[in-house]
Amino acid sequence: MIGKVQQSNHERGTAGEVIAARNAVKEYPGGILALDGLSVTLYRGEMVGILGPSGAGKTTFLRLLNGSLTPSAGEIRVLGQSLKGIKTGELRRLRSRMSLVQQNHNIIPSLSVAHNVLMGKLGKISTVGAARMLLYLTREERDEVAEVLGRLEIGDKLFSRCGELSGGQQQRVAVARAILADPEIIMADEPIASVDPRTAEVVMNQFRRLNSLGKTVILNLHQVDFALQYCTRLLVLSRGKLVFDGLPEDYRGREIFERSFAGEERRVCCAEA
Amino acid sequence: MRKPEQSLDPGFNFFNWLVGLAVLGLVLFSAGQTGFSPQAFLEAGNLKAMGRFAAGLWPPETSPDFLKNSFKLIVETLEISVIGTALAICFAFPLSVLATRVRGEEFSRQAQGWVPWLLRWITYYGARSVLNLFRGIPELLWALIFVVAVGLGPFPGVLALAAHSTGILGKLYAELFESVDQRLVETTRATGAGELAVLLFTRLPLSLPVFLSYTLFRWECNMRAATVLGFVGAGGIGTQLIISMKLFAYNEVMTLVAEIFALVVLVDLAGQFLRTRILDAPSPIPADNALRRLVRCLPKV
Ligand SMILES: Nc1ncnc2c1ncn2[C@@H]1O[C@H](COP(=O)(O)OP(=O)(O)OP(=O)(O)O)[C@@H](O)[C@H]1O
Ligand SMILES: [Mg+2]
Repeated sequence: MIGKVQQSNHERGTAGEVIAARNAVKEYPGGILALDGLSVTLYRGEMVGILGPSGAGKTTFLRLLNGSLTPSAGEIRVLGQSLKGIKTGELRRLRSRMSLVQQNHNIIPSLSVAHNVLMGKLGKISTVGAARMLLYLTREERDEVAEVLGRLEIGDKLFSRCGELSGGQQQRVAVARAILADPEIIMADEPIASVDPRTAEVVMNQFRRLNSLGKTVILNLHQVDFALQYCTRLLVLSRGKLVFDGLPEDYRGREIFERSFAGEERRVCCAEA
Repeated sequence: MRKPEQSLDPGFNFFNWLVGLAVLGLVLFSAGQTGFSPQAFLEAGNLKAMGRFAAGLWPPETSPDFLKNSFKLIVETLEISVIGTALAICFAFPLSVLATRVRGEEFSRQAQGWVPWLLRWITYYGARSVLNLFRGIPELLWALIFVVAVGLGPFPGVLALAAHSTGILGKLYAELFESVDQRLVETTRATGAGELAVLLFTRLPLSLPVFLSYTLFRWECNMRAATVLGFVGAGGIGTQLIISMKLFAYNEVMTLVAEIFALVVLVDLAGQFLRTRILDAPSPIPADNALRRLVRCLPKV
């Protein structure tokens, strides 16, 4: 199904394009087809929500964009640069311009919260600088981290050991790290999966604020209501295929939506209801 | 698909029995080859020699001169082990970094091309081979080599322990760094961090307790090894031990053995204490903690 957004985007061509996937296929060892020919273009300043049932390939998509995985076929371009055959140094520079908040396993439990957040800077500083950061933090660094943590309402945890935080707090530390990196693209894999609805709002508002500053935000979400409320564009994945791409308003027209899919895809809507 | 009942009853496994029999055969064969004969203890000549040795052990030598000298050598033994281990850490750490295999699709040959891929494997196998060489030669053999190279005394002993331990610690460190949670490594790389930054912020903090525990254990082993370095002229308490043995001064031997035993027990206890402290530590970044504590202790200016 092609929504209004995509139609207008077709006219935009490559102007303002930040991410483009062309027929991206990802087959994991063992023959699991996680992405099955995905083509999509994302533009600067969009706030994109990716929905889809568990196992649809959402996480795989973000890891492909990040260069952690390489596509089995097809092409991926990020910030105008093709990831095919990209040199290690170039990939690092590209990564310092985009942040990824992983679904889980996203904090180093034995390091302090401050160090975990400052890891967002690792792409921009030298190894010597990184070593210094491990031993000693400057006044500015402390203030910077405290400010970001404060916005996510965990300002009091600055020097706690990260492993001692609750799941939701750890998730916010990971979000804080992504914010501190000050990237052009910010991607988050289910960033509000383990926080209460009110805290989820706090986190989503931070993403919205970043978006209003001109950053492209891409969020994998399971909470449809949040996606409808905050995102400017929705993608729905099912079994590695893009089954919806359009405005949240169009997604709301669930009856039309449901009627346009038979069999498997119908389950997508039910799973999210 | 395997059925569940199949996994419950393995039945008679011919292969397992064959392996068991082969191991037993190997043990018996080796015993025969090495002249294993408990009755050797009971032969008249051997009994008399043992009797003479045991009788000579008592009373232990306690003259102040001998005690003072042996105490100096005991301290030297301890020093050799400490410096040897410290040197080993210095060499093992960089080598282990080179010998750490990086994983991840971004490092595959398809993604990177032939040249970087080949370079990485050459470094990896090169570093592993160096470590194997260091580890493959026992301490005593290293000591012999270094005695020839730098002369008698504790210095060749230090080098011998450092060389052998470099091989062991380097391999252990490399395997520790490799075994950390790959998804956390990926998370750190996602920030744009290079592999050295990944080492500092992910591999090291995640493996630090075990890292320190291995290192302390290696120090304990080096302590024990240092007691016999003197046999080949590489310093420490062994220097006196071999002299007393050759002079049949068994009462001196008794004193020395008692001292060595006390030292080894002490070092083992110290190592055990430190290792449990490290493994239970609330923050596995002791440097960070220690620094903060130090700063707190300093007088405010
Ligand atoms: N490392 C892997 N090796 C093999 N198969 C994998 C691997 N990672 C994911 N898969 C498979 O790929 C498919 C897509 O997984 P993915 O993690 O992208 O789903 P997802 O949409 O993020 O799901 P969820 O909402 O549960 O996080 C799944 O079937 C999964 O089993
Ligand atoms: Mg996922």
